[in-house]
Amino acid sequence: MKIFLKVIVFSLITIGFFAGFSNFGVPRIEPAPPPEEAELDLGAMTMDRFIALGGEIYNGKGTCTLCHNALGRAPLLDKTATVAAARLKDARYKGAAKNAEEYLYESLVKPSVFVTAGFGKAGTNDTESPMPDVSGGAIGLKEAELKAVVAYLQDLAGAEVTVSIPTGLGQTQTKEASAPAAAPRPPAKDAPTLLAQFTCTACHKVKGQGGVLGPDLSKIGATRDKNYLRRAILDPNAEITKGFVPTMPPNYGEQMYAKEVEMLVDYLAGLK
Amino acid sequence: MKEYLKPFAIAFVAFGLLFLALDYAIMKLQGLSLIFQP
Amino acid sequence: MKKILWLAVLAAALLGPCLDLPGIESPLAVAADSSTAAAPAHPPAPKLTAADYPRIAGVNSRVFVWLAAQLHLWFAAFVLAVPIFVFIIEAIGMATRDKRYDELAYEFIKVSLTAYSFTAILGGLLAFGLLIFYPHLFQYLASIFKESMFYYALLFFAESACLYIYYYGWHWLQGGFKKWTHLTLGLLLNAVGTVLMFLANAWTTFMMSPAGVDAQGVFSGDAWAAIHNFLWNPINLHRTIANVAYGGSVVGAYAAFKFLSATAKEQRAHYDWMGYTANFIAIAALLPLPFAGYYLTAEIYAYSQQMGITSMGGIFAWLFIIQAVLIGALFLSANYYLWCGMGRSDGAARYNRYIKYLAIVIVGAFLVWFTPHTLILTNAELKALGGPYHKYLGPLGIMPAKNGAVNLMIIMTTLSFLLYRRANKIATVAWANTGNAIQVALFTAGIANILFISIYHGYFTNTVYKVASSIPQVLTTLIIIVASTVIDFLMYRGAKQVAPLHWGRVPDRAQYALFLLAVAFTWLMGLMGYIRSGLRQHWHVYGVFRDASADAFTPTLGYAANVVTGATIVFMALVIFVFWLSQVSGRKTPPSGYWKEQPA
Repeated sequence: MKIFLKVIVFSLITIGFFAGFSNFGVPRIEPAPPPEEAELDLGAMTMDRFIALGGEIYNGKGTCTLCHNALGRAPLLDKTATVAAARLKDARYKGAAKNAEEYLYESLVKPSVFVTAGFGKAGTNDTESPMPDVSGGAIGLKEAELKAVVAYLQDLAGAEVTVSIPTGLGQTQTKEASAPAAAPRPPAKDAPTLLAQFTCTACHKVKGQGGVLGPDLSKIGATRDKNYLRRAILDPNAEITKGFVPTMPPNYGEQMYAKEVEMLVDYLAGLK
Repeated sequence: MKEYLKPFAIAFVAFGLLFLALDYAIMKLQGLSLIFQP
Repeated sequence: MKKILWLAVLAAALLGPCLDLPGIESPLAVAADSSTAAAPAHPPAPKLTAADYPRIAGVNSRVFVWLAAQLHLWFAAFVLAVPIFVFIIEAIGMATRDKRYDELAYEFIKVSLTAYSFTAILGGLLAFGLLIFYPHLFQYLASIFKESMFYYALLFFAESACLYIYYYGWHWLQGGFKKWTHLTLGLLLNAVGTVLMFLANAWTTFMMSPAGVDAQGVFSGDAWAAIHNFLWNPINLHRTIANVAYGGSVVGAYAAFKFLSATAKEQRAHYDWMGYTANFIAIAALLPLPFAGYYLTAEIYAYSQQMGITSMGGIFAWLFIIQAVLIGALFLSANYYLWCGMGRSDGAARYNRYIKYLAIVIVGAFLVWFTPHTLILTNAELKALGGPYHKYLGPLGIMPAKNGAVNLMIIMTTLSFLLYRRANKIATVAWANTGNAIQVALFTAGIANILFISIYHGYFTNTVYKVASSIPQVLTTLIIIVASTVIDFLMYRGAKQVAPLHWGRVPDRAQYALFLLAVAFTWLMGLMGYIRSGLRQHWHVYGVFRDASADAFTPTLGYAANVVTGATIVFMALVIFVFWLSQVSGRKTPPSGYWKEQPA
């Protein structure tokens, strides 16, 4: 019996070590929740917001950064919109695109049409891309989302954004991209809606979820007062938080209604 | 010690060449060369 | 020779119909059979909502199915492994005419008998769990796999028949032709069990890498396409090898316990031998296992880069660090057992001074192996470190370093084995010195090649080269294993024994190494089960049939570790019950005064 107990205790200690290491010895990472079907109010969207949406998809649902990062598995895409023009003239290019925008779109749904040198599947001599068609399968981006990503990539490279904002999620209609909507946009009814409309979480974490390009706002109310918050929204370059670079759009003051700004300030001040 | 040295040296060279040949053959089978060519 | 031929013919005759299942592979049979002009088209995968998942108050559906599946898998692995080595040991006994092997084989199967019932019970629990909590998923899978599920169920008749005649007929089917019949039954038991596993593997791999269905989940009607999807063969290979390693470790734990409890010297000797044999089987299967796992992962990457990167570069990355810790523990434990066991031989003292070098290399490799690459840091830490990687240790975290480390661990384990086997022998061949020199050259040249590939291809080339170079690296290790075994075999032909091995002369702590092996193996399998299912993330069938239940979220590593821990403890309790049961039938209690006096 004594041996039996010794063996049991030994086994439980061993198992305990494995469980303890898994709980406390490695960082606790919350996997992202399953993607929800986003409600896109395309009719009222401005180009800036459409580009930001593209950025959110790029960093989130599209899972682009899983491979397109500095670790070398896939090409970096920061200049891809400007490279596209040269690509079309490349002897290896056999696709149907006529301009940079079409090339970018084609790369998303038919990535094997042109494979950047050195990034093809091993043994295929750069004729087959390991990238999947992102409009299907596990990623499943809709038409509007694909266009948003193209717009984002064009903006990222500093090129002219030529994408037209589609009217519906699955359709496209030519529309003046940079002109503001004909009818004035109705004001957002609450702060979370405002956050979604202006895609703040593309760069900021709110309630633990969001991007890392800007400071985490999940507990911002505990460390910043309303005056600071208001100034940060209307004039972000007045003071840049340590460790970050000036990237926040400086024109929210022109885009948001005064009531919306106050609503947002109150909301953020309450995040403690 | 001395009686080990000669067979060791011969075997080491022989195995070394064998392994290098293996490396080369397998890399070639995958469409690559042994030495990196960017 | 005649007997072998007879064996082969019988096996083929009995196996043939099992594999040529109608409805799966013969279009001719289907064409002749169909009475309707066109079969109705299959529906697409349903789009469910949370309301479509039945719930029972107080029961977490996902944990229930998870526990049932994991427990089932542990027992299934065990009952597939035991017949493999029972068959081998019985065959060795027949070849050497040494009765001890026959008795050992019988003891293995006797000890594991109840485990078959548990495998079936847990399989039933899993099926019920799926039916109750995930009825739509089960219906969808059953509509695609109806034939294979049907034959799977029927095959259990064959499995039970083989198992019970094999076990209960052990002492009846002895000597001459009967013994060959018995061995054939053992072969059949293995064959049927393997087919059962391959069928179940098809259903589970289909959920990860669906084939034979279109993007909406509409089944094309080609069941064979659905069965031999992308990941089917890699899982078949990996599970077959892993089962052997696992089964060996569980039996080794049994032997370790009996050894510690034994009082008589012969008993201790017997269980020491049993433990050694079981450990030998476990390690022999453990050596090629990283390669099978690597092949599986390579196929996952080939099927979907996204799935592959999620597994190793994304949220599951830290899980593989834990896997590294566990595998390192396995290798250290197995080697430690071998080193302790050297004491059985009077001639082992010659090799004692080399052991510390083996230990240093294995521990060093283990440390490299579990060094992470990307560190999760806060902003302040990021700035202090200058990036997400440690300046010196970061480079040790990426695959080339890790490949090198695991290959070295495997080679050192091979070396431990060689030294163990040599410990009790004195070579009598004339070329012994040359032979030793050749062995040293083989190992040094091989290790140099592995280091060359790790460092040069690992750090001075690009991703495509890095991945491609792991194949010659792995082949180098395999060549070392095979060549060194052959050379030693030739070198020690006709060798003199230093003295008969002192079975039983081994410290008690060596037995704890066997317990560690079994426990670590079990927990590791549980962890890998989490990742295999977790890779599907929020999909029932990846990319085709979305999981809309409340539990669709991927659980954290800590949570998964806790579920696996709970499951491991339950499994341990059940296995202890299985082992206890195996010796209950031998117990007799004289019931004084209970029964009526019998007339004389």
